[in-house]
Amino acid sequence: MQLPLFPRGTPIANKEPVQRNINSQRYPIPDVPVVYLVEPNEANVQAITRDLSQGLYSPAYVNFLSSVPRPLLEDFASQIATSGASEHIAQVFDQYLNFIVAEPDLFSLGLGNDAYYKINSGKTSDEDLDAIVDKVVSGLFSVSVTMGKCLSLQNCSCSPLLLH
Amino acid sequence: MVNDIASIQKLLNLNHDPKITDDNAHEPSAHGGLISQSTPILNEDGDPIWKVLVFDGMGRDVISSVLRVNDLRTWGVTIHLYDVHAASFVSSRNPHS
Repeated sequence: MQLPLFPRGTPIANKEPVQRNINSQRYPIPDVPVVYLVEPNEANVQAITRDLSQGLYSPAYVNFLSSVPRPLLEDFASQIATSGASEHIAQVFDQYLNFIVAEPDLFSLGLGNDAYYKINSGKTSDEDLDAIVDKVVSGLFSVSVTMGKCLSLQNCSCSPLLLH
Repeated sequence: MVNDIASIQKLLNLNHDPKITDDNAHEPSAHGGLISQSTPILNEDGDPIWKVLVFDGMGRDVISSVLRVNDLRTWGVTIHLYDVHAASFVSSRNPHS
């Protein structure tokens, strides 16, 4: 998907935001809050803990795109506690936003271009299929929560198209 | 989807409810974007609270489909950072970095 968010060459001197690689060396920015908007997974939790234990930003507002599984939340809490970064955390929220809104009445679950193939292929492992189904369920639940309405799902001949 | 934009605005607003300044908040704004006219929270001096936004690939897709860089700046975002997935894509284009 081509996305218009990031123009090329944006020095902060021109009052434009700066893009940086999260793996590049970064320096602490004191007194500037950080807003995380990430999927709840192990790698992201570790990245957040690493940032905060190095004191890069404070305070941190952590927003997870979908609901956080309890084991991951406990893991996050224990990592933060052992790294002594707990005073940097201001909030942790589930945002139920793990879907992409393309138009006011159109959304995508962001499953990737090969979701239709994976669902219908006999070579897909049960784990992969479970992961896709979990993502669909979580995405549709997020849409429902964000809209504040109960979705009516219909199985029709065009339904596979909805998976893109 | 208006609720989606409202949720993103709220999280950029450090999860305070944005104040809606426009009566027609559900209409597209005058500059043609999907975002409604609402104001970011201010600090004690009345200035916007500047913040750093860190997101991964999915977070980028979610935000960039509804907000542009200019909109992010309106909400006080000065620096935004990719997370791991996008970073590997960027570095693969420049093997010397």
